[in-house]
Amino acid sequence: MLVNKKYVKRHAKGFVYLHWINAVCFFMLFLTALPLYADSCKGLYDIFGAKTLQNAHRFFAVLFVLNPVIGLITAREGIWRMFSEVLKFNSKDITFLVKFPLELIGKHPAGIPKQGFYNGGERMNIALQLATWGVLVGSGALLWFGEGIIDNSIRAWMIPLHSLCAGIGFAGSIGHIYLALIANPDSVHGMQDGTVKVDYANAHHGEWMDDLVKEGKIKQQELKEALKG
Amino acid sequence: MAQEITMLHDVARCSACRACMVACKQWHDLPADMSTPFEGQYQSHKDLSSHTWNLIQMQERVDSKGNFHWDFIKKQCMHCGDPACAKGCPEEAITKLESGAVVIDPDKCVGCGYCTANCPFGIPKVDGEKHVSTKCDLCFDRIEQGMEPSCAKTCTADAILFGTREEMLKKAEERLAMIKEDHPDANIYNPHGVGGVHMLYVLPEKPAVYGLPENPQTPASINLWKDIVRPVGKLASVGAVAGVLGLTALTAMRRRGEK
Amino acid sequence: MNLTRRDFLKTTGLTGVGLALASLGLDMPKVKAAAKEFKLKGAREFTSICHFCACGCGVIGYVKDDKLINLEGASDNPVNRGGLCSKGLGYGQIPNSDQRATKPLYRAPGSDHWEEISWDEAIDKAARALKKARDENWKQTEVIDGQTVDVHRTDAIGFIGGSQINNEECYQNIKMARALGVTYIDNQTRVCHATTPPAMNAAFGRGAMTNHWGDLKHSKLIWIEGSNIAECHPMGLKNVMKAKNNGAKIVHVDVRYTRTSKIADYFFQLRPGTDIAFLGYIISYIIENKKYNEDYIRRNTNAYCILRDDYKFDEGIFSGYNAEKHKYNMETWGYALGADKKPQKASDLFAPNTVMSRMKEHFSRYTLDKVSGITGMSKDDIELAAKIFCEYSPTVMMYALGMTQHTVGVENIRCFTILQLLRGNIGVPGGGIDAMRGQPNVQASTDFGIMFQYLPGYLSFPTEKTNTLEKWTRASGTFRAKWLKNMLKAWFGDYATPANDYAFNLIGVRNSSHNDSIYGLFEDAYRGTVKCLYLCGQNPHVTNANAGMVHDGLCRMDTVIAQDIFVNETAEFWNRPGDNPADIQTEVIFLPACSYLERRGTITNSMRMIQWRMEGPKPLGDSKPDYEINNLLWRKIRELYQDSTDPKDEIIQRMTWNYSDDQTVEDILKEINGYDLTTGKLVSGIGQLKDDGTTSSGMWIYAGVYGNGEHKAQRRGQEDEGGLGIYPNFGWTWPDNIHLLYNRASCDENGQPVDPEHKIVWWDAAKNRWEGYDVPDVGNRNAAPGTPDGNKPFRMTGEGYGRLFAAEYSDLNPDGMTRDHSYTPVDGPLPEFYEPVESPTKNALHKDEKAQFNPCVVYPRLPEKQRIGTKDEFPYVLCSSGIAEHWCSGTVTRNIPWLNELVKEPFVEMSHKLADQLGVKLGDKVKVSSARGNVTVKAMVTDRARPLTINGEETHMVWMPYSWGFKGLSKGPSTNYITIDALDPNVQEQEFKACLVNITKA
Ligand SMILES: Nc1nc2c(c(=O)[nH]1)N[C@H]1C(S)=C(S)[C@@H](COP(=O)(O)OP(=O)(O)OC[C@H]3O[C@@H](n4cnc5c(=O)[nH]c(N)nc54)[C@H](O)[C@@H]3O)O[C@H]1N2
Ligand SMILES: Nc1nc2c(c(=O)[nH]1)N[C@H]1C(S)=C(S)[C@@H](COP(=O)(O)OP(=O)(O)OC[C@H]3O[C@@H](n4cnc5c(=O)[nH]c(N)nc54)[C@H](O)[C@@H]3O)O[C@H]1N2
Ligand code: HEM
Ligand code: HEM
Ligand code: SF4
Ligand code: SF4
Ligand code: SF4
Ligand code: SF4
Ligand code: SF4
Ligand SMILES: [Mo]
Repeated sequence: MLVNKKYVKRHAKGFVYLHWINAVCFFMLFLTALPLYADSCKGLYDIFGAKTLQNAHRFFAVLFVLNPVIGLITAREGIWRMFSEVLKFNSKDITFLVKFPLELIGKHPAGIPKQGFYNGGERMNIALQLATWGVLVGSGALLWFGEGIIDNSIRAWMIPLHSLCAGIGFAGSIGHIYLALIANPDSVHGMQDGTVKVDYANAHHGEWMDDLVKEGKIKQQELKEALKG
Repeated sequence: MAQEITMLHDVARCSACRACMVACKQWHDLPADMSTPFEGQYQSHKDLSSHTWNLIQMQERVDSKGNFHWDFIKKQCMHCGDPACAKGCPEEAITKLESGAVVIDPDKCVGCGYCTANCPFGIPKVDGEKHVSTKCDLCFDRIEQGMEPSCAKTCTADAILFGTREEMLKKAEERLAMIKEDHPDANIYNPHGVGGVHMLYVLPEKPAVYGLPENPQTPASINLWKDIVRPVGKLASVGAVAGVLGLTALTAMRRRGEK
Repeated sequence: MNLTRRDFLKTTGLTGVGLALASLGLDMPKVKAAAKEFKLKGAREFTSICHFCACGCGVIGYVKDDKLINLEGASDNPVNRGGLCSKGLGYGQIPNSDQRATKPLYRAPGSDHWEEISWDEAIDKAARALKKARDENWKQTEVIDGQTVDVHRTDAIGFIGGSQINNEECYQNIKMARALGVTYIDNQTRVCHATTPPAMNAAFGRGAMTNHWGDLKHSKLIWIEGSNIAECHPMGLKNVMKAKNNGAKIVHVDVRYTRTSKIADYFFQLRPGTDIAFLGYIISYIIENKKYNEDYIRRNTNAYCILRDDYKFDEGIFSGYNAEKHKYNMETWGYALGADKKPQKASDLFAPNTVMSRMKEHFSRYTLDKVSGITGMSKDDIELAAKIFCEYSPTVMMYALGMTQHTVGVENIRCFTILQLLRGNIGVPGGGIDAMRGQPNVQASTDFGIMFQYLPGYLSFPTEKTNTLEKWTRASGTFRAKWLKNMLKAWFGDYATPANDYAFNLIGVRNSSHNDSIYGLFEDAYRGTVKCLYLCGQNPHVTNANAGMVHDGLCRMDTVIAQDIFVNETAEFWNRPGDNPADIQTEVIFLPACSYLERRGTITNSMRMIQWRMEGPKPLGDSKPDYEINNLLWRKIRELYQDSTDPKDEIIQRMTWNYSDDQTVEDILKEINGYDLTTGKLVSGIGQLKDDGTTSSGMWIYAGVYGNGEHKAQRRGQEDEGGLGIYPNFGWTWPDNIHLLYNRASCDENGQPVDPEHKIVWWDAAKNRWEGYDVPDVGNRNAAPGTPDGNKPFRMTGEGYGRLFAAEYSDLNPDGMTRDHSYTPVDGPLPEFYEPVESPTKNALHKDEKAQFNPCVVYPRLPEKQRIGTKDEFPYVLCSSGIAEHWCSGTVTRNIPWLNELVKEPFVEMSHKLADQLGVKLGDKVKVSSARGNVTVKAMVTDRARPLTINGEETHMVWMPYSWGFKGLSKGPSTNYITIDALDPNVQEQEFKACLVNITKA
């Protein structure tokens, strides 16, 4: 069933929260650690104090870890979907990725195969964020708690690793935000009340829409009307 | 020209009187640290701490012949020739002085703990309250005034020696010769991997017996981090932001054009 | 005194390694971190002497804004050359400690708290309490052995302490005590090294450590037995290590593996209290294998002297034993005297009845089998030890409590004296017997006679047998009577004249058969006769053996006056956890003393060196220097007695006390040094003292310390002619600045050094005088080697030579009056092995029950309080002693956080085997109990400890430190609730090192 005849249900509420908490934590983590990352940002320590920022980093780190743990209860479906979607990465996604760059400047090249719930780009993003999440948490934890337990010859590698992931994760998320806010502003709706416009969904996630119809979650009729309107 | 100096701990002589521990605290006005409870052991603290920069480790050992040994060693900063702590410090708060002393500037230190993670010997400890990293500073302030380090001056067993580097290297050989007969594994601990140390040890047994790494290295990860990850990361981040801004502008222009 | 800038640079260490480094260009460019001001900038420096062990380390302190900001070793001090151990350094926290008592306090009878009172009130209360106890319990006469004797003394007051105060304060205290007629006078030496002076005295004529710390560098073998030098005399160890650099070997013989064993080349373990058996074997080995230095013993000892043929020894008992009294009549232990009343010598060393032949016979019983069974050492080890002992020379023997704290303490040490004399190791560089004294000023508190049986300078205190000057002289000799007269002149001034025997009879008389030691004191307090205790820096509630006895005694006293820098357990005994203060009617007056850093004075270390202490920071709060408190107290007492006409009070009125307020310590030291009364000048040394009342000297052995008006204790000279390591111009060493005692023994008959490479003194024929790098230890420097006076290597014994056999002997003047008397231990002229009073086994050497333990020991003295435990009930041997990071009762060190973090609480050390047997793991709580009490502590299970096979049976030994009590920052149970107070018969020293306990899991 469509919502208000125009919107299709995409993300559960829990997942939306999960996403935003994750997003905020990520940025706060990045910002609080920025003075260590870039000398040009040392000013932040002068303003807020090194101890405050480092404690804040740890505070958000805890949230950052707890968030998906809680998510396992409140947004199990969304999380499960992310995992399964990444694993479904296929040849269509490759075609997508080849043609995709034009999307970046808002063009809609032809020949892009119909995409599933997540498109090839999103699947990439998920994979990237999952991986950096894991490494950041792991390396961060070793830096935080590993003293005296884990040999320093190992711990010393956590610093570049952590930094590396922070960098990649950050660059990735910037791209992600651009795509969401600028390239496909319609997608953001999905991260607001959980629904997206049918036309947006159809254009970007045709296969998913087809599946929904097949599964009878929405009726062909409804869909047509919505697309027309 | 300033002289390169070195401290030497003759492990065979140390009596674990722990005077050096008190001397260090007195000179640096460090409070007592009761965090290690007494559970039947002799050693006072599990490890160095921000209030304990110098720890006498005490371990019992029965060798393969069934002979008993009580091993003591003075744990503190090694004052590496190529100090990982200093290299990896994002704030450049750690300086290797010409004398060889590796010293933390508390005013610059932000307490990030990278020195703690990078040091191959696990020496620096971040002070929870003051939020600065701490460790033995070789009493550089005393040295500058022509005084010996507190611990070296006070040693009750002629186990800590202090002087110019050449002199100490010579003394180390002398002391080694004195114990070599009874201790075939005896060695001078001055690992190359960290650029040599200004805290030499004459060890009657292999380093591992005293919990010292056989072949410590100034970790390659520091260079990777300093020379590659950080610059590349910064570039990527700035690039991403710049790229996105550019794309935004492009999109906006294109969209305006479409209208 | 003012030190020059340069002196300070030296003491700081700037002219040592420091300056060398600086000149090499170490003042490197200042990094930002150095921008912080140098810690010592602008601080006032002062030097002093450490207040813990008797090493006597020099310290340099720095004061800023009247606070001590740093304390470290003085680099110019030859004892420590800049080093300090953990305690010496840790003392830096004491002048600022918030645990210090800063106001006089009063605890009313039955009260559960202290009240602050004014100094006036406190002094008034203290003086009146002493007066009351004295006046109400005055003993004018006493019936002793059926005779009424005029004793004019009081047995109702005890004076305890002395090792924790400066020389001048010791002198004040002994004058106060003797003027009050007190006989219970004691200081730490009783519980510590009391057995040392008689043993050394019996052999050499003096009771002190023979050589200097700096002399150790000459030793080739350093034999450490019954000492934990690394922990208890750390700067002694620093000097030992210098010898090691010269190739010396270190042997450690001990009952446990300690930090000293760690640095030794050889470690031999034996059961507590069995050293005589072990050393007896070595003596026998030396004699059998002719490893003795024949030339030396011929020149310097009584080896060739012939003994009386009625001297006997059978089944562990010497001739003359009275089993009822546990006493010997020593008559038969004498020499066969010639017509001149001097000992006769044989020409053959082993002629019948020579000392050597009797010794050979005596020690031949110490066979490898027997000794191995007794000690638990393997036969191989015993033999190896004997071999090593004979392999090197010179050898120094170093010891402390492992030897002294036994009921056979004197005879333990006698073994050392015999060994060293046999090997020719006395009076030579690198040799000697280093009796390492414990407390910072125990050497001086003993010198000053803060002991019931002495007056200052080891002059016997009068007893019913010596209650006139004439009788006293007959017993002690004219040699010593001279010093006594000089002391009496110092004490009673013009009143002391030859006509009134120098006022000898003002001084009280003690009962020779009465035990007036600190142990007798608390037993008699328990019996109700001792009413008032004046305690000056001692904490017997924690440190006396069978400490429950101390508590019970204190509870029955009327008044305790405690003068201390902290309120210790003894001062606050009424507040012992678990007791009800309301039940305890003793009033307590607390007089807060300031710490050593806050006052000045002189102090004497183990090697008899007197050093100067400057004032550092001002006394904390209202605390005062001990010398000032003593002044206040004595002046008040004198005031209370000033109008009395009672003859008993005359001594108080006549006792000199002319010390100015601002120069108290200098005035006292001058009095001790002595004056030529005809010129009013300070005498320059013992040699200037006269027998006719024209000179005075408060204590003859220190005559010269202020020689010719120079305060020699303040000297910091670095000269060391001959490279002996003695630095004769640093401080001043008694007697006469002689550093190596008996150094005459290093020369042959012609006065020439036997070992020219290590010469110390020699006869200079050209100058017709003894010369040396050290002051020659001869009675008369102009007495040529051939003359009787020039041939007395051990001039302080009656015979003039070293005594292998401690014969009963008085040397007579031509007129038949005693010149000097040699000391003979009451329990035998030769050492004999006896089991400790509480022992896990039967004495394997003799079957006679009387000789199971020392036959002269009387124990129990108070049967209801002093049970002897047996092996069935208490199967394990307990040894207790000090630990590197804490000090004695712990009053001071347990208030130093830097030390508490190193050793946090008491514990019991045991082997894995015993722990397994008991089902105990590392850190488990266990209850250690004896026939006297029990304590609960954690177990330290270690491979350092191991069981020994004793006479065929596996025997376990456990060890405990004793430095805890219920006060201070670190509290813990006191080990001494379980230790035994059986006492050595010579000097009433207890057996801390061996008693029986049981252990159970708590
Ligand atoms: N750190 C520290 N230093 C101190 C003190 C302190 O409390 N703490 N106290 C000071 C005082 S007052 C003194 S008197 C000295 C004492 O100094 P030490 O005499 O060195 O001290 P202890 O540890 O009592 O005893 C010495 C050794 O004798 C051993 N021993 C016990 N019984 C026997 C025995 O029967 N035979 C043999 N061969 N050895 C035995 C003990 O195991 C111990 O290792 O130290 C002084 N210095
Ligand atoms: N079980 C067992 N017991 C033992 C021993 C052992 O080996 N085993 N050893 C014994 C030995 S050797 C000794 S010497 C004794 C020591 O026994 P104590 O002399 O009783 O012990 P300390 O802790 O030295 O006590 C000294 C007191 O003097 C005080 N004091 C410090 N400085 C000053 C000062 O400047 N002025 C004044 N007025 N007071 C001051 C201190 O605060 C403390 O209360 O213990 C003995 N007890
Ligand atoms: C559980 C998660 C995390 C933990 C436990 C953790 C822990 C740490 C620790 C201990 C440091 C050292 C400095 C400091 O104490 O502040 C650090 C640095 C840093 N962290 Fe994290 N962190 C976590 C997640 C993240 C995330 C998600 C990011 C990025 C978005 C991030 C970015 C950084 C950066 C950039 C630095 C400085 C890196 C550098 O030295 O170049 N961290 N982190
Ligand atoms: C202002 C910031 C952000 C906005 C506007 C935003 C927006 C969105 C939107 C609209 C979606 C849904 C896409 C869809 O329904 O297909 C989404 C999904 C997602 N977001 Fe974000 N996001 C932001 C920040 C972040 C950050 C910082 C992270 C991670 C560190 C992140 C991780 C993800 C992931 C993993 C998904 C699911 C997969 C995907 O759609 O790419 N987001 N985001
Ligand atoms: S030991 Fe560690 S802290 Fe010391 S200089 Fe070397 S790397 Fe730095
Ligand atoms: S803790 Fe301080 S000294 Fe250590 S790396 Fe960080 S900023 Fe540098
Ligand atoms: S050199 Fe100075 S800072 Fe380092 S351990 Fe010794 S006393 Fe402490
Ligand atoms: S002062 Fe010297 S002997 Fe004592 S613990 Fe330190 S290094 Fe060892
Ligand atoms: S306790 Fe003894 S060794 Fe330690 S500093 Fe004091 S005097 Fe020196
Ligand atoms: Mo002592």
